[in-house]
Amino acid sequence: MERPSKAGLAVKGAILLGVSLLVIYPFVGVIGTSLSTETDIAKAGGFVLLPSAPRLDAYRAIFEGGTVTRALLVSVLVTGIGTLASLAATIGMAYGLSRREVTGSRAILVVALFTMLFNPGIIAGFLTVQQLGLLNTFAALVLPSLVSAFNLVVLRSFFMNLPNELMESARMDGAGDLRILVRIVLPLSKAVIAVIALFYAVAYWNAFFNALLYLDDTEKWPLPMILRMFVLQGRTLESLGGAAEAPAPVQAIQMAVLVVAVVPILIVYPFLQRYFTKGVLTGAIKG
Amino acid sequence: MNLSRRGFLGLAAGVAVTSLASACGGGAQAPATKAQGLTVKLPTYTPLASIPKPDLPGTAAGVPDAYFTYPKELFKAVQKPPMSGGQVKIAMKTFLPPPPGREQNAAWREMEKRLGGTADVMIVPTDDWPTKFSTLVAGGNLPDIFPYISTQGVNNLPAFAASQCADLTPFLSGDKVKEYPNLAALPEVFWKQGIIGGKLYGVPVPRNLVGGLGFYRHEMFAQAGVTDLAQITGLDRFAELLKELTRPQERRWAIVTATGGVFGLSIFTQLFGVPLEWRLDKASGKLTHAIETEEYRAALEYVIKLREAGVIYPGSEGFDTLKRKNEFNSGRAAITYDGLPAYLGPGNYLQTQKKIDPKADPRPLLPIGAKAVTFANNIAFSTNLLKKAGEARVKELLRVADFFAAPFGSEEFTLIQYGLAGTDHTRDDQGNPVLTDQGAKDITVPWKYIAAPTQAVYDPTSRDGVEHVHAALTKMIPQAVYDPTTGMFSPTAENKFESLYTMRNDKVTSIVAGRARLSELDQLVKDWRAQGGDKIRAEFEQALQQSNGPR
Repeated sequence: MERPSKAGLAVKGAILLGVSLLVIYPFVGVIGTSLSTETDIAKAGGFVLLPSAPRLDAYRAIFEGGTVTRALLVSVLVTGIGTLASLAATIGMAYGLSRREVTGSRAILVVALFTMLFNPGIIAGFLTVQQLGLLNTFAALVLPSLVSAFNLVVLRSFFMNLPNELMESARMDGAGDLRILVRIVLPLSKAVIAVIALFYAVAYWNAFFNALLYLDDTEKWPLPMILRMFVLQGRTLESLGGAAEAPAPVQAIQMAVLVVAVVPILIVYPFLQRYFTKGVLTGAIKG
Repeated sequence: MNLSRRGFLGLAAGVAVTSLASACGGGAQAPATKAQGLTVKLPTYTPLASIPKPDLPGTAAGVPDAYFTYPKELFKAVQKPPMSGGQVKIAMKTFLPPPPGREQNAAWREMEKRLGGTADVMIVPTDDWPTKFSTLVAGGNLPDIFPYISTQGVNNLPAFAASQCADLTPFLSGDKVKEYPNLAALPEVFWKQGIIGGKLYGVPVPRNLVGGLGFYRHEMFAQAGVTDLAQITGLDRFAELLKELTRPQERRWAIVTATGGVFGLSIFTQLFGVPLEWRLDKASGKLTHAIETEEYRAALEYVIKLREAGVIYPGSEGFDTLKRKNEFNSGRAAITYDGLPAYLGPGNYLQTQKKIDPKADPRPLLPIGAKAVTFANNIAFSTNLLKKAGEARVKELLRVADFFAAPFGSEEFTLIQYGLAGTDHTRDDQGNPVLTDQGAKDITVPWKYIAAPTQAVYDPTSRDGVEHVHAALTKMIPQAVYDPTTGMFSPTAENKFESLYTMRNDKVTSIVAGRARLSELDQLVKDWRAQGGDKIRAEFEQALQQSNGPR
């Protein structure tokens, strides 16, 4: 291969640097603003790159009182358990639907696909959850969104493209469906499962709407619900009354909330990234 | 996105509510789908005898009392606990981050002790309330006390109220309210907010009647030679002043606005004497809508000229609220429109601007010119409804509401606003409660939105600020114009309000922005009339005829 010219390298470098700066700029701004004082924010018009006197007031305001820490715990548990449950259900269903010999699999698939086009609506969903007695339980955060039809379809088409001979030979060796799934299908599907796990985890991590609808007790709220309140309500943060001082500038709190919400995903992402491109492409092209 | 979700929910809730109403059958009143006048005898206004002496007294017209310091001696406003055991379920909207739960919240436990029962509070972010409300209605899960706001999406409010809510008329009308002394101390104007379909359903959470004309930077006005707003002789002079205040080279403009603010039009509709929604010609009983008036056209023309003169912060029509506040706070604009409640207290204009620049001197803008009025658009924060129940239960819930309406300076008010003495607040040498760190969190339970007394003006951090607000209210309340249809019901208005409002706001914004001509206002009025305006007018005129007494 021909070595790129110095000029070419320089241009490429400049472009990459430019793009990187474009991506990094808002992040730095978010972090900078979260550490700023009222004066900094007002002077900079709401977006501070370098605070003159960085302060952690906004983070203190968020984490004080234990509401956010408890919500963080709830979110971690819901995300962890929810992702595992969703994976188990989706893998099981996708495997079943990928076997052509299963009677009625097409009909079930159509029903699943139907949910991609039409969702039941808020009221119907609420009534179902209520009748199942799930109101005010953590299960209400997981069960209504246990299987995503999109993930199901991706996984099913991946399973269908695995060489049938492998499974047939396993069957001749006396393996049942469960054994085939666990010993043969799953080890071959690591990439796509990692991707789907990431999809589920991110969805659970960010989900607030189910909590809003189904959980009346604020003590059970997951992190996004609480953070959302900081962000939304920050707009009109009412006076706390008396001689209290505002704990931190509204925008600083909002930005601190963004940092708190994004960091965990940022930490998980690099570990799954190598599977990520591979997995999506596999499912998509062969499907 | 948000709107369409609301629209959908409105539809869904409408269906749910209608079916619930019809399912209720015999017990419920016939749903009022027709126009309905104000025929209720409102609760008799009976001021409390024993309130602390104010530093600046209020008036019978509704100007509130004002206090520079908190009363040192607290008094008991509720003699015995309103509940005898049992539980009350309350849903409330909140603007604040969620509070610690009961176990970690001393104020909550004290509140329940004082109430004499368990208070389960379902806290819902304000923006999410319509969604949550729809599910509560659909699931038959309505709490005992819950707020109602007009964007909540009930299509037939009278039918909903008749089937689901306690009719408070027999409990509060006339002198009956005296059983609840703190509620009786609310003037009639507030109770009008609680009327649905000709009956009293709502307990109001009072505000100070007028929202005001926004705020101005007094020190900037003084630089331009205006040391007292009375020196501005008329609107022509005001326009000149706005031009003098504009100094683009110093990055300063006269007015900063935000999306939906129509370039600060709300300030100028009031200065030009536009009615609040409707104007009633008492002789003929005919209504004229604000946008049909000459005054409205004149106000629009004026704002267009201001925009063309460059005194409105360029691009600020695309700002969000925070950005607008930032620009005003940092002195890049001399005037902004916002409600009076955004002035005093932590995080609000006065304190924030003093922090940024000690010389900053923001004050409420006052009516200027001979024709100016002020809109009575800040009468109540919200109106809360009670779930339908037997007589004894309704009375118990009203006693609970009475508890939360305990006046400024009472033990109950102090608990609601500042939590438990010692744990949640201490009192400085003036007697002012100072929240502790714990207190700042504990008091975010939205107790103060369940019911409330008339709102005293109080801010221990700024005597000047209290004086400014009190002076502004003293000037503005006598000039206030009310919507003559308050307390009346028009089914078309109930269903079409949002779409007509959006249509109007979009068009008027385009006109001021220069994307449409002023002459298109005529077409807008025509469209508005055809799409429901005329029908609403006819319904309200009919309602006015049925109503008792002169308005």
